[in-house]
Amino acid sequence: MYPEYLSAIGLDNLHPGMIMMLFGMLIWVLPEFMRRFLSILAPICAGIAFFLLNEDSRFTYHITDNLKVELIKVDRMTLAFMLVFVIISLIAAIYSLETQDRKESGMSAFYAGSIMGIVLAGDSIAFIVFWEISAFASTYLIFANKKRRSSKSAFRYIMMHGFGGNMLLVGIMMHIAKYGTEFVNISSARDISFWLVLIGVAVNAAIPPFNGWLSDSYPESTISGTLYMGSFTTKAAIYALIRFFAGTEFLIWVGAIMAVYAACMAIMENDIRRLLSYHIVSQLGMMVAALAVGSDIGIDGASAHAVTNIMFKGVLIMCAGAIIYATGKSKITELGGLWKKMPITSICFLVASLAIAGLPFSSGFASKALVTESLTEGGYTIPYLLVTAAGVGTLLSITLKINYFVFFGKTDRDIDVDEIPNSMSIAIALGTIVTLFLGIYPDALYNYTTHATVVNPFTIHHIVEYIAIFIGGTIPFVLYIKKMAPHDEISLDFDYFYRKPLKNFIEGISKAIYKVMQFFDNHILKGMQFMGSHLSNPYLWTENSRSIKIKNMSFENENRLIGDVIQAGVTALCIMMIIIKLI
Amino acid sequence: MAIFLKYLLISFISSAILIFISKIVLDKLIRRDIDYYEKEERDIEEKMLSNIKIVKISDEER
Repeated sequence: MYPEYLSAIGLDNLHPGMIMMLFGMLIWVLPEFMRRFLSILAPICAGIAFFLLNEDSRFTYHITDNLKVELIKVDRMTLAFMLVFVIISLIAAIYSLETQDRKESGMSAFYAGSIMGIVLAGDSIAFIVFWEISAFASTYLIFANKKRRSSKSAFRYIMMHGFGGNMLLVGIMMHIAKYGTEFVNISSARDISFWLVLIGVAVNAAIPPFNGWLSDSYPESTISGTLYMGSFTTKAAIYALIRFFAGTEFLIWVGAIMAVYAACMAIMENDIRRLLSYHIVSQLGMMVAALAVGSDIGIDGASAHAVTNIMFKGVLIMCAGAIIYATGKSKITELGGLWKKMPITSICFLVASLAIAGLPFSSGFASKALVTESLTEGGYTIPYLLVTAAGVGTLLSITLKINYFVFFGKTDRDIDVDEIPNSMSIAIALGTIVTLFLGIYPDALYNYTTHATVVNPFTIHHIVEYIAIFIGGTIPFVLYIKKMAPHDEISLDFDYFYRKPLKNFIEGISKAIYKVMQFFDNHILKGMQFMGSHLSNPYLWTENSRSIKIKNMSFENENRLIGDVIQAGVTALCIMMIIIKLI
Repeated sequence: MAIFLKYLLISFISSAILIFISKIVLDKLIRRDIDYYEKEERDIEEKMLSNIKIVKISDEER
């Protein structure tokens, strides 16, 4: 598909991720006027490098004669993830043209590149290195919001990802000791490395109880930061789960419960970005359930759903960012009737929300078909029902709730709306077009999956199923519409445990250690002062004695008995030597 | 028609259960004031700041 001379001169071995990272560093150091140009050029160059890749591409770095790192190894799944990462990098760069400063823009490109590095990694060493780099790079995107809440959230984020990264690192090291550096599916193993790698990946995949960081940090990030993080970190975790844990049966239940749990949390939320964050968790649950089935259709369903999710979730996050930019508000209780003042954003949000709910002829419909088909084929009826219920939850919280209360419902509020930059509107429109394209031509999606599973989602059975789900899910919403209005409160999640009890526990230990050190500080100081003064002035050892004999041992006393003095001195010296010997 | 009614029923029941769980059960159990975490953090910072002794140094003393 490409000229062979490109292979001869090594152009098919260019690393798109490292190109992005290089551009990120250039944006960081070069003047501001170059930022816009470089931030668009970065994904374009990465895209060109991506299209030159093929399954024979290799980029090997030899650390020693015996130790090498495979930075590029390409298969169909890598290509699927890379394609969508390149597309969303370009869309996100366009979206962020007017909202990011030089440092944030550079770090965004660097972060996107590190995630591409994870997906392109040919062995566990390259994988873990890029994994850790992405954790630090993404922390900056939260910190870049420059608010008190953001800096605290960024700290909690890096603590959580540090924990996950360390679990993953130790697990990977043990994995390498057992299996070598190649990626090996460890779904059947139940040794310590299995659990450590699973915990490490579960943190990034936001599998409860490790999901608290997502709904805590994504809403505190910058507008563009949420877009980048929502598109990359969690999907790289899905990639890792497919590589290591495809076919791990208990994860089917974990994924199904996670999908419903997050849907329930999303229904209660008031902050738009927090609601979308919970939705990311819900959609991840569906992907986890599908990949855990382990069949061809399950793995293809997980990767296809990850791809479509990046696009329609990206559009939703971009629309939320546009609302925040235009109104300065992110809470549903403060918004309403926005479709008249933000028509493009409203329509694109509507299309993306219908896609996420799986409306026929949308991209979500195409990918969800694989997910649900994998569960029914595997005979997992209850997980299938739970995933269907989670889909209904998605319909309730995003398609119905946000569209009604924020955009299209009746309201008395008159909200001041500033115009959003054209770059934002263009990016939102592009994302929506891609979302629609994948829904109308799902083969474009299926052809990139690992096993190229052929499913026809446009059967009467399937279309009728989703129309029935739409109608059936909408009726309770309409009946309880007053109850569906959100309140301005927060929900406690698993992050409660490290924000309150664990924090108090660590503070208690710190105070106890401080008190112990303070005790030693005070008494050692006194002891050293005693030794110093008494060694420099031996008279002080004897002056306060009640014994006349000892008192008269002073060298200043002319009546001293010299023999007694020498005897006492030698005795003291001997005692000291015995003590030192014993020590 | 049977497929339509089957999924209509499944989605209706799912929707009702989800609304009940989230808006009635979880709403009472886990919803808190918007400043639930922030208030304690602000109080701690205020206490730390109140312990700081700020001494004005005149230009001559510098």
